[in-house]
Amino acid sequence: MYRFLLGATLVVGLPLGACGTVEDDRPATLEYVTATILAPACANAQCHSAFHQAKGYAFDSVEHARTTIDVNGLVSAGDPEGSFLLTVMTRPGADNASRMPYDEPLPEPDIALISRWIADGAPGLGAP
Amino acid sequence: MKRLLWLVPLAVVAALGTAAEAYPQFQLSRDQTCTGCHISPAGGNLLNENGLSQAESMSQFGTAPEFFYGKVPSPSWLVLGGDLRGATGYIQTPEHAFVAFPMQAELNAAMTFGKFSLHVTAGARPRTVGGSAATRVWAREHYLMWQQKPGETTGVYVRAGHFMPVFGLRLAEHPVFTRRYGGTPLFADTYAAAVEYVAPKGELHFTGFIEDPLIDPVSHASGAAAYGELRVGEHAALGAEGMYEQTADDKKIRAGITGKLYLPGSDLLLQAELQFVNQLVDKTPTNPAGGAPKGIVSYLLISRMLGNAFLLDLGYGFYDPNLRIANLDRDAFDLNLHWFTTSHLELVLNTRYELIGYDFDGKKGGDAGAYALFQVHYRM
Repeated sequence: MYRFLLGATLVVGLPLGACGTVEDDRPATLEYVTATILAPACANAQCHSAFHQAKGYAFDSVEHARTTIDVNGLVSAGDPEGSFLLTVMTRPGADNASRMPYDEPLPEPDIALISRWIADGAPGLGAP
Repeated sequence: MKRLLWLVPLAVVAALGTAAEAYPQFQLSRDQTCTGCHISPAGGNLLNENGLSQAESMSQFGTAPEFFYGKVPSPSWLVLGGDLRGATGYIQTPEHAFVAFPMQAELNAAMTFGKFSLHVTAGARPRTVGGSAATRVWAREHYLMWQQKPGETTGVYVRAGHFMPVFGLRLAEHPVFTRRYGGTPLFADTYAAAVEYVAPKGELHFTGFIEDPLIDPVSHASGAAAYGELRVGEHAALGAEGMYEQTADDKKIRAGITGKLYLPGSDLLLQAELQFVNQLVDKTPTNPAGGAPKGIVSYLLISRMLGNAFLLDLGYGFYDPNLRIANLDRDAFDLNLHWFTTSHLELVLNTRYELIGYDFDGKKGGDAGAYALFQVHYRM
């Protein structure tokens, strides 16, 4: 029993201490941001997947993310503070404005990567 | 304020909506396999005779467990069922709100003709906003199954149609990280073909699947999944899992292990799953470097029956999508209390506290979230 408990604790608990420490060198691109942040965090069954498209937004693929951002003007290239996409991820809850995603807010490094992508001119938007 | 209250439940439904499935918490402690209680080799949905008997015997006020208390007669080749769920409670994500929302309204049917059977699960779905789905109904599952030994709970099963590949622990609560981030998120059912083998000593499941060509799906992946589990002695099991997924944008290779141990003396069931995910983001002219984050998703669940009609779960989940980068990880601490009041009615308290980007050094990677929801589940 105790061996299993120890094993289970190691299997599941070890990751707690396995967080990386290197400088964030992830590509600040639409493709990378969509595949690793927007799709897993935002494209749930009843949020911004093609399945539901809450508010008409879909972030479950690069094509859908590009269209959603372009059509709805969610990003102002070169201006993170002026981009609605970043605003909704960072604003505090208020009477008329809630932060996204509701269920699991993004970690700060992910928000920083999206900000860097926008600051770099948001490459990947427009026609592919 | 009204706008906020309208939007919050939608998001919570995404996080906490569910589809009725088996409780793997009963494996080893009650029956060895999912087919011990369920018609499907994947578990979930319709109960067989033993499953109905279990539902009656382990409820507080045992009532006739059959579909509509046995008052709706059906021929022997037809099994009917259904599930209704709703929830209300408090969430902090990190905003604070009281919410109430529907979760599930589905009907199930299984029609058996010799070794072949047709299975359908149909019901409510969220309607797309400006998308292709104009209705609020869909058949989440519909598949044809061939069973080597009709009426028995072991043997070879071959399925083709629309369903979720068997993979990992298959916990019912889909906010569990190993489901949400582990290859089987809510409503990721898709067209697939599977060859499965179930025996008291173990089970094997091989599934090939494609992106749903008929609707806008939750998952755009095509690929294959494999899961095998071997019983070790009477009260333990070890499993291995692997999945390959390919979309237009990336590929994911998942590999992991599972373990289950039932401790009869203390009536504790421990289940654990650890999965490594290697994601390969495609290289494109505007993303020349591609990207290859390697992550971990895991879950540990400790369950115990309290008396005859209560089930207590304590869970811990860990998810880190990129082990190289600090403060991307999530830690979830779950406590669920199930009360099986009658053969058909289950009341559940689901609670979670989640840390986002937690760092022992005190650096802050994000906010904490929490919820406490009271769930009502009525099985028809």
